[in-house]
Amino acid sequence: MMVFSYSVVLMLALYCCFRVLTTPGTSETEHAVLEIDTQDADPSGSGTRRSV
Amino acid sequence: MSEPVAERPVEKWGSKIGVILAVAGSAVGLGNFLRFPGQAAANGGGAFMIPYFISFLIVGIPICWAEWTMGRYGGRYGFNSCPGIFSVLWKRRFSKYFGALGLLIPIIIYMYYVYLESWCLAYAYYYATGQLDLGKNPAVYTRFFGSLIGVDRDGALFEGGLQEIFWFFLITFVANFIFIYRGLNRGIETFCKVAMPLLILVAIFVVYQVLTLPEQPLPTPWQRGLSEAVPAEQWEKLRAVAENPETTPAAMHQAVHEVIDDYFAKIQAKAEGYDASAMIAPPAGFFDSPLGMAMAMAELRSEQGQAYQEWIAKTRETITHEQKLELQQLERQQLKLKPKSDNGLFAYLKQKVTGKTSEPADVEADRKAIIEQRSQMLQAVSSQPMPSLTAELERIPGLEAPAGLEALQERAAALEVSELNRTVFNGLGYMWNPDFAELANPQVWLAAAGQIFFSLSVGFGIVLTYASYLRPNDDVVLSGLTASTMNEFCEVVLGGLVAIPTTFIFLGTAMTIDYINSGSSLGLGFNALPAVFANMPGGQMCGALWFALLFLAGITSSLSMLQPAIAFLEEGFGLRRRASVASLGLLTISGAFVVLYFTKNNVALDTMDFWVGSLAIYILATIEIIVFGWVIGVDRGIEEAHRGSHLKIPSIFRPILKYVTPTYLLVIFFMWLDQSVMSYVQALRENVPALMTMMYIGCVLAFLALMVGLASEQWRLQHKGESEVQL
Repeated sequence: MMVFSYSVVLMLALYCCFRVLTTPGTSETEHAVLEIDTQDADPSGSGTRRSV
Repeated sequence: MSEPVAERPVEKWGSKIGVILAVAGSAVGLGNFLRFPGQAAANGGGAFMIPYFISFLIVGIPICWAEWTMGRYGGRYGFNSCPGIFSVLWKRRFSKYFGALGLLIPIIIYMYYVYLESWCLAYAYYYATGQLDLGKNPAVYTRFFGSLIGVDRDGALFEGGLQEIFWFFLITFVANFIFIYRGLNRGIETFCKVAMPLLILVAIFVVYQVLTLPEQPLPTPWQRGLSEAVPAEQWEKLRAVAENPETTPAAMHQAVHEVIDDYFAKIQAKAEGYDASAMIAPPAGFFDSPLGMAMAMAELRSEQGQAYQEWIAKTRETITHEQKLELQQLERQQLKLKPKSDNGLFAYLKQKVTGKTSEPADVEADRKAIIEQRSQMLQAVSSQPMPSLTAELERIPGLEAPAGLEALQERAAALEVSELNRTVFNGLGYMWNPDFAELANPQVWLAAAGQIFFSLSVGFGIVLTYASYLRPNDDVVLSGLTASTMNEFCEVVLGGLVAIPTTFIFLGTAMTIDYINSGSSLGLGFNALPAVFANMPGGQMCGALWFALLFLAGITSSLSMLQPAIAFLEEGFGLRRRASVASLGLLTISGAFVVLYFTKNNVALDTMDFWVGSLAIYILATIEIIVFGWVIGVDRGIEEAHRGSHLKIPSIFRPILKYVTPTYLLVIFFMWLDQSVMSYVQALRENVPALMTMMYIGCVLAFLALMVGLASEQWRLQHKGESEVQL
């Protein structure tokens, strides 16, 4: 069960890494949740709307 | 970051790896290292991975895609909060109220999650200052952890002034709000891009340390080993209690725990006359019950006691590994004996309507079968008959052994001889060996789906909010899949190798089961890992680094939990950042105090974790997938998901999104209602702190629903959500 679980997860992880690394434009349009800029982040109200 | 795409420098591999690291960093949380192993071990070990992966493939990934897509879609209409996004997706008056769940869930989870983070911070601090150098006996760390978080009684953190952990909690709580007030893009996420991959590297190092741990000695039961560990007069006093014919098992239980608690306190204080190297463990599982205490008393009193000990030692040498596993399986079966039909909602309603009690399960017959099988196995594993202690057991006042004294002794003997050697492989076996009988239990499937939701943060409302800030042509399909997969890597590959195997190696089967069954599996990493660090070179530094990074991983998750409510307060009521952060701070501190006060067995934390951290996210995820598959429509939904995507959703997911996922979720939910819900309701009725916690959750939900009603009126007057906004 452990071998099966590890195989599934590692294969999926490698596939995703491969897709991200080989597909053009991924660094512009791929986003991690933490990386997404919430527009209202700036207390002074000058946050950058829709900039990610 | 905001310049036009065309002006950006040519994409390099480094920036793409940065994307992967950022995604991996976002995916790591406390749930990966602390929640997952406990859930897996408590729900069938390796067998848990079957519903877990099924949930991942047909529930986790589809809902993840649905959330990213629906969130981005809602953002195009100017909404960033769950209620707003729901009102755009589903043009019905009531739809926005479902979004209240998307506010409730992250808020309530934050209330206890921030407390977990403060444990990490406290441990990092104690390691850094050398205060967590308590020797190699893992039970000392268990006691330290229990007293730190006040697991013995409610209100412990406020007795005799505020306890230390409260200050760590306060620092953590305030730090979260400072970060959310300043904004994520002011440094925390930049820092996390470095720190979270570092956490993964440290995790790999810790995994290596765990896998190379030497075999640990089996701990000695108190009746045999305590005489060597404590001063002679203390032992004689305890022995006198055991030999007193008037002593009841309950009185013995109290006396033993007083001596053992005192022993650990003295070890912690490095007092003279106490042997810190003795592997004394507090009684756990069966041996911590009145029946277990009675067995220890009989062993000390009876002339046969010595012969019984020798029989145990000799049988341990001859019993095979397979026989040990079979005996353990019998114990597990006996622990689970209960009439399941009485726990179901439908059986309960039928009983109310018809006045007839539901058919009781044939528990007694099952128990007899287990006892008989165990008796036969004990005869088979030893060439000599077991010396009987039943004559002495009969003389113990207040002893109630429903299955008989002989069966009582056999159960105790079976547990002792079946204790597995504490090696890494046995620890991994404990974690991963499948118990397929568990698959018939809907609770296991619910737990698997709950864990998937919890760790992927789907069904929280968090992804909906974050995705709403994306540009219309940003990718959501590959982003969602990569985030989910990276999370699984951290959880299964790394998380599965740390907490449970180490707990097993250092604390043994009984204590591991105790932790898991008491619902306190979240604390496993705090009990066993310090023993790992104590056994490795540079352990103190590694411990400090590990818990500091875990703290950081927690912070990144909890920050994302605050964002949905912040977004709602800002767009629903036009609050500025300061006001929305302050309002949310007041609300969350009230709930955090509920968690901090009801610390006995972490009852408030566990109540919130089950009813909100498992059940509510399950319900919200079900609503979301129904909205995506049936309200928006699968074809339209997938078309929207494919806008700007780098990966096409395979066509097999069309029927999955429309039929399989909602059916799967609904079937498990109704099976859970049918079989288990009443046991949870009963637990609430019997446990006042749990009931009060539940009432608090209800009040927060009602308050949020009211707020959603008020906000929607604002949106209606502003004609918000009626057309796409210019981005």
